[in-house]
Amino acid sequence: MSLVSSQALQMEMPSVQRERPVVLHVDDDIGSLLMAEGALEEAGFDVLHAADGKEAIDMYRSHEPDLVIMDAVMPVMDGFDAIKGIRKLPGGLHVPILMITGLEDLDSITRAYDEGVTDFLTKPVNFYILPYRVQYLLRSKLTADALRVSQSKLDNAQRIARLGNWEWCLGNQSMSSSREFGRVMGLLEGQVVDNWDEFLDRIVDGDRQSVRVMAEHAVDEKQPFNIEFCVPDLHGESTRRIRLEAEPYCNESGECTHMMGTIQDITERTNAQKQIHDLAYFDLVTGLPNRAQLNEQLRYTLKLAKRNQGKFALLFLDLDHFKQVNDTLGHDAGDALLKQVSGRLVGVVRGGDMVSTTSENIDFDEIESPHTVARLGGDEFVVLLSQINRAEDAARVAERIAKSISTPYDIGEQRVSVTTTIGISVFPADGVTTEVLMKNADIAMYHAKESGRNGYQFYSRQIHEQALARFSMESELKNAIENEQLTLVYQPKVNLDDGSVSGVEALIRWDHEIYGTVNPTEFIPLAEETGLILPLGRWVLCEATRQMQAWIDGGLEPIIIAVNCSSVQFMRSDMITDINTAIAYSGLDPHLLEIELTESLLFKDIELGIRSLRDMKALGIQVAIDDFGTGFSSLTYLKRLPVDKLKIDRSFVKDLGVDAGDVAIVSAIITLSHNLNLTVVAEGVETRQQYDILHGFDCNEAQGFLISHPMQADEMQQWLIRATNRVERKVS
Amino acid sequence: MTSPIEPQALKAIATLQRPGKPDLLQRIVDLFKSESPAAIEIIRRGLDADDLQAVGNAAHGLKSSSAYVGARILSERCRELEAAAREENHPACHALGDGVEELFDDSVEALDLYMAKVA
Repeated sequence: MSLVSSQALQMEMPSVQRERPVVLHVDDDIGSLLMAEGALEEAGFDVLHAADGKEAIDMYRSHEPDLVIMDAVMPVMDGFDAIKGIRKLPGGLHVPILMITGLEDLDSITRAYDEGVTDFLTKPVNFYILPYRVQYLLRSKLTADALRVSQSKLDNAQRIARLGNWEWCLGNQSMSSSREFGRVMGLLEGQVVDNWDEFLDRIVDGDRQSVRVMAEHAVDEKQPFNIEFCVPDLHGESTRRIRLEAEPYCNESGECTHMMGTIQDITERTNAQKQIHDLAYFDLVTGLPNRAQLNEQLRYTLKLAKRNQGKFALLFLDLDHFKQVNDTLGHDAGDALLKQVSGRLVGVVRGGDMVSTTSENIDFDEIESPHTVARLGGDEFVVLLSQINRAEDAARVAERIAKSISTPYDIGEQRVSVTTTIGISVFPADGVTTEVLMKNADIAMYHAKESGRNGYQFYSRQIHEQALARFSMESELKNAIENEQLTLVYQPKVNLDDGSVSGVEALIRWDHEIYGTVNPTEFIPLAEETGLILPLGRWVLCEATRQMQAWIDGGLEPIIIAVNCSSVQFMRSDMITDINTAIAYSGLDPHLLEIELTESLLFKDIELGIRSLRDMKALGIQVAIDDFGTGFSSLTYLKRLPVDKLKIDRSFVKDLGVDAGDVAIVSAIITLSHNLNLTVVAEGVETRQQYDILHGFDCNEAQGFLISHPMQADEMQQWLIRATNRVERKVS
Repeated sequence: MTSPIEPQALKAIATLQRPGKPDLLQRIVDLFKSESPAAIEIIRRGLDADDLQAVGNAAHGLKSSSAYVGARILSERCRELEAAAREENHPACHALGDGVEELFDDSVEALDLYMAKVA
């Protein structure tokens, strides 16, 4: 708190009432003076005399009478000039002056009034009445004095409180207000706001509309209201925060005619509150939230996660050997290091679409992202990742933190290196209360320290191993793609009516030296999450088209090569460019390329799906819908989709001949497809019985173990040669 | 003929008398009698010297003081004279000014009679 200024208070003080008020009577006619004196003294006044205007001013200065009776026409100086003189004297502005004038002298009455005469008596004066008139004038002067004193007190109180009052007339929108109102609103001295719209115009753009709407609502509802808003300060350099309180006033018929209220400058108070809040909830050294703020955030996060069945993670970390830095370089260097560490932690958490809470952003409602970096004290920090999908997300952040923290720091002239050890607890697996989660993250950190510093450790061994496994698989997959350790295998499709080969589907395979054969259902989701699917998808397209062209060049009959497309590829990458590239490199006829898409993928964004499919069709490429029947296809859209084929999901084919329901579904799909002029392929055909049933339904093609397992390229080539010969033998 | 003095005015002055103080009415009447001849002299000289401002000012003062003692006719004459002087109406000033002294003497005579009666 600072003193606003040292200026002395300037205010009206209540005048002290004399026991016998003093009247100064100014007249050049001694008779008048005598007669008035008698009447006035009788009525309880002390009377002073002056014979002309000049004498009157001198008498006023020396005696400060309570009231002046002034003749108009006098020698030396007349009454008008005397009044002018008295009004300029200290205390002379408000003294009542009663002028005695002739009835006929109308001009002088106007002139005297302009000079500040309070009242008039005409000659000949009724001296009997005079004391009563004097009495009345004195009484009104006391009232006026009291009012001025009261007004002055009010002005001062308002000035001290930085509070102004106002009244808004709803009829003509006019506004009246106290002096302090103008100052609070940042108006210049003498500048006034005299209607509601002008008042609203003074409010900063962002707040104006809410004040307008709130006030209109209050008028409609005849309800009091209050609101806070900002106005530019006098210099326009910053803004002041204002609180407005208002009440409606209604007339007898219940109609709201006025709003009356106050405005108060609460800038200092708001700043002080913010300062208090910052001191209570933020760490002074780093500006990060402190333990109290973290606990609030944690409670809030826990509540939210319980409600939404979400997951979150607590990363508990400290700096390895921080004590040595402090001991050797001093506490200032230690603080400087803590600040830099904080900055890096915030940076890491902010990266990857995570935003941290910093001291500029303390309003809970305004926190954009609830991830929090907090300092508990000493060299201990906590990172709260308030929304994660899997434990690996936390591990990923922990790895980034460890890497970022271990980069050397420049502290003054010194280059300093520290590392960090991180313990992680995950909700709900590692605890369902804030205390347990904090404790377990702490324990995990000590376990991590035991197994060597500069690392991280989950509280749960199982989670830790899973996260590690996935991580290592991720990096292995990345290596495999880069080093082209993935291979394609091929599975043929045949026409049901003549048994001839209609095409082959390229399937990806990962044979890992340690893991063995990794199932695509395991590594494709991982590739999709990590974005590795994009280079992977490109490689598959290129390799499959290259292989088919190679077979054709080797003398095989051209057949269709089918390639699967992931939703991530379809939605994110420029598929058409990838396809064009593959075709250009391989030289394959685009009509021999078929892209298989799952129906769920297409129906995610039907318009985008249709656009992309049209682009593919324009290249001459075949499009098949894979796993048909498993998603929630809309038949309406199916009609609109420019596709060539449907592949009946293997789950329907499996129970053909066993489950009557599946027979009905397969039959219906085939009929539907033919009506839409689509070719139908049955997947997962394993028995002769299934084959025959499908044939009976006029299904076009079949794929599955009955025909062949997926094969390596050279094996596939041999198979195709044999199959061609078989068909040729049949035909001939 | 109308009396040059209205007794009500003098009675009104008497009501302002405060107990134990000098006789107010007597003082006012004495003041009127002693101060007025100077004003009348100013009027006479003013008329002779054509100084109408001096005539107006003196008539103004005499207008008030005569009114207070109930010398209605004199006061009315002074009012007319003051007005004529302000308008610089020379003939009217001379016509009105000439009779002021006589009216004053009539008033004094009537005042003395009244005072003798109330004494």
